[in-house]
Amino acid sequence: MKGKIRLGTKVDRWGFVFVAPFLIGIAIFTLYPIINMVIMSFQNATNRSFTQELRFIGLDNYQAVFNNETFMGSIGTTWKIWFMNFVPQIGIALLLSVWFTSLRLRLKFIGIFRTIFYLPNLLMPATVAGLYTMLIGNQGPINKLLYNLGISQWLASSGIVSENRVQVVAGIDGAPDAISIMFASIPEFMTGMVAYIQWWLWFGSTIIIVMAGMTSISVSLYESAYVDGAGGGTIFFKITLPLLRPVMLYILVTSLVGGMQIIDIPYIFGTAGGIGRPGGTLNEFATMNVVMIREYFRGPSTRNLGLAAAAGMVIFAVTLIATIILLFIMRIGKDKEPKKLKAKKGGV
Amino acid sequence: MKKLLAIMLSMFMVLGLAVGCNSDEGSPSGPSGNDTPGTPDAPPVPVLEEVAEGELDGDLVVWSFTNEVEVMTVAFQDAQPNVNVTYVMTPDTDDQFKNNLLNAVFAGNVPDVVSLESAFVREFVENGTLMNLSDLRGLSNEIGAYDFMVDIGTSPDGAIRAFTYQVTPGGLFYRRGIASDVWGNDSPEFVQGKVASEDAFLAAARELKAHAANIYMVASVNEFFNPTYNLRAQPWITDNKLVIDPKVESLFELAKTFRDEDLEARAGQWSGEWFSSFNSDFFDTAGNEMRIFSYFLPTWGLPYVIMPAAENTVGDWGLVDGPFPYSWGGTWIGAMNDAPNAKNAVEFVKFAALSLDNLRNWATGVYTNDYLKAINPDIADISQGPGDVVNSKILVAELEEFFDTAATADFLGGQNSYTAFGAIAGNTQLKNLQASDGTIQDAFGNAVNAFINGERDRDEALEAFRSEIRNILPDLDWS
Repeated sequence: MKGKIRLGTKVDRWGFVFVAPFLIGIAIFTLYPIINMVIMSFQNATNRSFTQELRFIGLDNYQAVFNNETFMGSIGTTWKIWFMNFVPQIGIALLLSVWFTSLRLRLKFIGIFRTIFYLPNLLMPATVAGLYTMLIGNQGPINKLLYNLGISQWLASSGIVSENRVQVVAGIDGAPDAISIMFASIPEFMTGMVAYIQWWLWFGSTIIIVMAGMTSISVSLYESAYVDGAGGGTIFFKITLPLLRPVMLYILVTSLVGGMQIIDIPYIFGTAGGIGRPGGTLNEFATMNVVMIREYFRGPSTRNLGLAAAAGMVIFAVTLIATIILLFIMRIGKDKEPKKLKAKKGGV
Repeated sequence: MKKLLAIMLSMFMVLGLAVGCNSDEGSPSGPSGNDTPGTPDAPPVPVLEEVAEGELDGDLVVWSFTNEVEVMTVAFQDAQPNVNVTYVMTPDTDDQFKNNLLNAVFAGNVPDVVSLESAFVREFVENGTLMNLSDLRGLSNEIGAYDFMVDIGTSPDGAIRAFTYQVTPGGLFYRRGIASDVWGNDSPEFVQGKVASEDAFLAAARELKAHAANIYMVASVNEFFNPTYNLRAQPWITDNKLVIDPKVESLFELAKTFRDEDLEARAGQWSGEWFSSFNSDFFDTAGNEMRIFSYFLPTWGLPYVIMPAAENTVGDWGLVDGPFPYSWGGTWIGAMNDAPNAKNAVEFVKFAALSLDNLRNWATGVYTNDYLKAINPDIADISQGPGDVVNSKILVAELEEFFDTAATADFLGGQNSYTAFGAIAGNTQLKNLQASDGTIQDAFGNAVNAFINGERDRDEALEAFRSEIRNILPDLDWS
């Protein structure tokens, strides 16, 4: 502790020691599997023969994945679900955050609202999917409510829900007694349901991040805007939104990465639509990961790790390309940004 | 920098998920049965030699996915106190047990004895990692083990590689009240006559419907999918080709008829509606009861599925063979080929699955926690209650009387479930089993559902099924 140099070297050495457990952990549990996945995506890892020698088979796995119409179709599905969930999520989060942080409205009990909106995020998505599977059952609570309000009858008679999606339950004498909508058999409904649950689970968390971003914007900017006579809309589009760019970028990227990987809710709905749940749909709402698990991992002996690895690489590529495009777009906006601000500052 | 970080982060997030399940790197297992076994059969262990109590010593390592087998290990120690038993329990959630076992084989560091669930027993029976226990066939015949349970543990080369202590045939549970309302007779003999074949089953369903339109033969058509798969004349994969047996293909018609004539209540197995129907608590949206006549469930379905959910309908149930003989579930025990303590391993399999004394104790609830604690005070609160149907015709006959007064008999309106399942087991045949069956049958069930829901016509549904299996098993001959 006498000389600066000695102190420095000591700290350096200890630094390595301190980060070592983390680095070793990452190397073993993240880096190695990733490298191994890349390698395996080129191998015949079919898991079918016990003594099988893994050998390289070029791009065969990728070719099979690209020829798998179900998987290729799921790329569009994944985007659709992400979009249907993200647009309302960011829209509502922005709106509520503006209200919550508004200097004019000065809403009370913001903390309570924020907590309530955040609560769904504490639930396991799988649990929520299971819950909704029960709620939308043919004779489940939602169907009972809709029938007793007369909505089911209207949906069926107006043709909004087609005939083969409606269960007409016969009474003792055979005459129609009641009807229920077979929600699980309507692909559009189930797709919307997945997006809705995603939205419901995540908008609270987005609000918190957006609010944090908004409150970090200097109040003096808003005050000077008021002084200059700017309205709510102008303030939002000229001050709040531009200055939220880093936060928005963070939300977009994390949501996109998460959205491309979504599996639990569509997987459970998909199981619910298959064996054991009559009235189920084919998996029109199956996302990329769902198809990968269902087709390449399913069954102890039918799984094909090589194909699964190749599919994983495709999912990775889709996400990576989307993220790069996103960063690129945000960057274009960023170049203009400082000039405007500088000009304004100069003006003030 | 931020961009780089974001890219790196997204890379790790994406890859993190994608590889999460891959970590058992290339530990190839084996299904299809056409592959050469991994390790040649170990030199035969003298399996038939009589072993006196306390004669064995050394170690025994048992791996299991269910704590049922732990009860067996403790009981085994009672007979062989000098054997040092190590019991390792790994649940098979997310294939954990199976992956551990595959990795152990891969690393050449295997346990002596393993328990295998019906979902993956074929995989290990076919992949050549289990010891050939064919020499125990005589013993198995002696206690009257049911052939189909032995068949499941028999590899394609004819060698027996795993034995089971229980028998899990499936029957048809029905509601006596509905039978007497409709036919004026609720006896199992009469009801079996009504549902003895596929055609009779359909005719009976129509009679129920004609009597009162709110009575449904089954909760959903999916109930009889699995039983029907047992009727296949050939395996799903024959000569490296996917074969759709005509029996299985007829499911399209049968399911469609049930759907179109409203003979099923469209309440899936394991759904909330399904469970509430056991208790006559299943109502349509207008609040009127939907009555379900029958359910396809095996031995364990009675104490573990129906009875806990049907406290208001005790005595209103009956059990018959039904139209399709089938088996559902079960736990098998095998010794590993490279077991370090081969002799003890074989003796344990003999004790657990082929010893009449042990099976009798197992079925009649002798293995209480107190009993087991007296042998090994360190064990947890494990025990085995009475009621499991054991894999021995001799014992099933012997124990009939014991179960005349059991809770299950009250529940079934005086019918002895042990006798009933014993009779069903006697008629059950299981052939053409392959490791990949579960996956293929899931996909086929989806195809039938798509067809009866009007989403695809029959040819489209079959084509979608074939292409799904083609994605899963690309190495088959698809020409």
